[in-house]
Amino acid sequence: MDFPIFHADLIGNRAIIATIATLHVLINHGLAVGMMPLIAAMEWHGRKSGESRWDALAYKLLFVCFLVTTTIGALTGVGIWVSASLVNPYAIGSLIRVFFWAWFVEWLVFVTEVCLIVVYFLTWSKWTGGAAKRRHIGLGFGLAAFSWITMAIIVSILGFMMDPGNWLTDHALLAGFTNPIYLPQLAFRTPLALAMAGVVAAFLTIFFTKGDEPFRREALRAINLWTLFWAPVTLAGGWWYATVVPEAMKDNISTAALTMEFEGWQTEFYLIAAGTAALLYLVAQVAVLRPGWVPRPAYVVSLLAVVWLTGHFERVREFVRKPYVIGRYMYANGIRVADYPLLQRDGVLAHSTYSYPLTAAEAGPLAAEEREQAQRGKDVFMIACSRCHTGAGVNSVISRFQSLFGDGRWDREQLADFTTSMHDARPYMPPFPGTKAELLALSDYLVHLRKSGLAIPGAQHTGVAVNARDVAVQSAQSTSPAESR
Amino acid sequence: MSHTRRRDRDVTRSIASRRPGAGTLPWSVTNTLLVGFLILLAPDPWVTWLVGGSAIAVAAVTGAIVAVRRTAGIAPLTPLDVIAAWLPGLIALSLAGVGLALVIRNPDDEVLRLGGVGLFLVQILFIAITGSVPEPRADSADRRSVRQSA
Repeated sequence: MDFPIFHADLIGNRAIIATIATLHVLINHGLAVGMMPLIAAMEWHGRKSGESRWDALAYKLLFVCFLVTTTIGALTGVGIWVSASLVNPYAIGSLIRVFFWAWFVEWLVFVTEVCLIVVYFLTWSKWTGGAAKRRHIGLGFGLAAFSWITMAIIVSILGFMMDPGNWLTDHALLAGFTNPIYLPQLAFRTPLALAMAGVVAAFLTIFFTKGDEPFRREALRAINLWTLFWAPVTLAGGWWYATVVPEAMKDNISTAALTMEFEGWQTEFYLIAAGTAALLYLVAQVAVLRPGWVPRPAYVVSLLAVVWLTGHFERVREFVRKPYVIGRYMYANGIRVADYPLLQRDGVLAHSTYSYPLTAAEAGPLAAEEREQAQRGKDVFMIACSRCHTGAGVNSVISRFQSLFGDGRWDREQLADFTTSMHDARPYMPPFPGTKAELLALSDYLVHLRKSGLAIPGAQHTGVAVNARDVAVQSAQSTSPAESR
Repeated sequence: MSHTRRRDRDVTRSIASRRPGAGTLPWSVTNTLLVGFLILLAPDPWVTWLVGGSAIAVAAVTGAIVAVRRTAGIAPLTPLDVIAAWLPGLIALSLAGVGLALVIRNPDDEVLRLGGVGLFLVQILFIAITGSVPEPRADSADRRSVRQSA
């Protein structure tokens, strides 16, 4: 608890990471990992068949990919680091300690990938004849390989966060890298990216080719053939992936897919998702059979469908691992499982470096004693709840209790009792990490928050106060003989 | 419309008019739907296997004939031509098999059973349509005209 806590009370911290990360995944899978081999294959086929329009189409697709991946793709890549470090620095810190060298290699591969895409794009119209063209096509496949390697490394970290496997007993990089989820997830994401690229390429092809020329039919047939091939492989990979997801996480799927409000609609959701996937496949299949039979809006629907399915998959993957942010090692609130006994004995406030001062609006109506209690409650909220919950925004803690205790008067003991055992009723919630006194302080603060209806500002708005205990420790250290020397 | 584009379309139409299999589509669709009904109503898994397996075998032969015909008239034959001729059918047959397996292995689950029949039907229909509808595709004559116009 050594970092000031950033908190966005309107949309919630989760939404910041989710928006940036999902956008990044869509770009990474659809326009880089999956698209680069497709573009290189189109360039190769254009040369092999002597059809220059394949080459022209591949170049136009590359132009879009180059533009999007080097701007939004690169920014969202950095954005994941920034947002995750802000929201849960402890989780990122743990991951960096385990995967330092993996990330270092990934960084090298990523820089190489960026250099390759720049060279690939800029030399397209220069390396045209004979050996130069062959070299250029080779460059395209090389770029595709590097795009895939970056994903292959990151997928290991994503798998580790779901189930660290043997790393829990053997804290070595290799044990973490070869976690039980790694290969199945890679076997799912690789064909998913390739199939997704086919859908995106088909959508772009209707803009890049003329409607009444046979080449459009030929191009759409070939691109949809690509999708058609990878779609069943994606299903097979997805099935393998589903078999290795820990049972406890499977229990969270209905909430992960539909939120608490709609979790009873699980069957309907599965049917809609399966129907959407079937529709995607059907469009590709009909396009392979007779490209002319598929109306242009169908490609728009396909694109939206693949974006929704992939985006929703990411949401589910992020949610199911709860209550952990790193499976069985660290809870979603950033507190390690191993630290719980200590914190439940001493209290989280005793080990917290910072306090988050009440704003004038928050403190206004309270007497001095109540203010102290609210301050403690707010600090507990920031440490234990704020990673996932807001005060008045998305997934607000007030609305959650409102759905349980209704509009009447809230009793602090009742709130505290529920919070003590909430992880039994809702397995995706971590246990409360503090003492009974801290729990009552939190309850008092929530009762006050409900009355005031105020949003909870993060450290970026209110600043922080260094806790007295730490000030005392620091001053003791600064005057100790060791420090003096 | 430009002269080149009109010529492309005329070439396509003339190819389409002489392709074999024209006019059999209604029968192929009807036969496939009947097979689907039989699978749905079959009292025994063995009957389902027999009917579904036979349909897959017939579709495999049909698909192979279509694929051979499709590649026969193309010169020069590129890897894409070969893949485009054979791969869709192979995937369709595999998925039809998956659909049949879903029906047989989930006799008590209505959703999976109906899903299996649907998957089986769509995939067999795909092959039936491929074999029945003359295809306005870019074969060698068409492709030559495309290259000339490029």
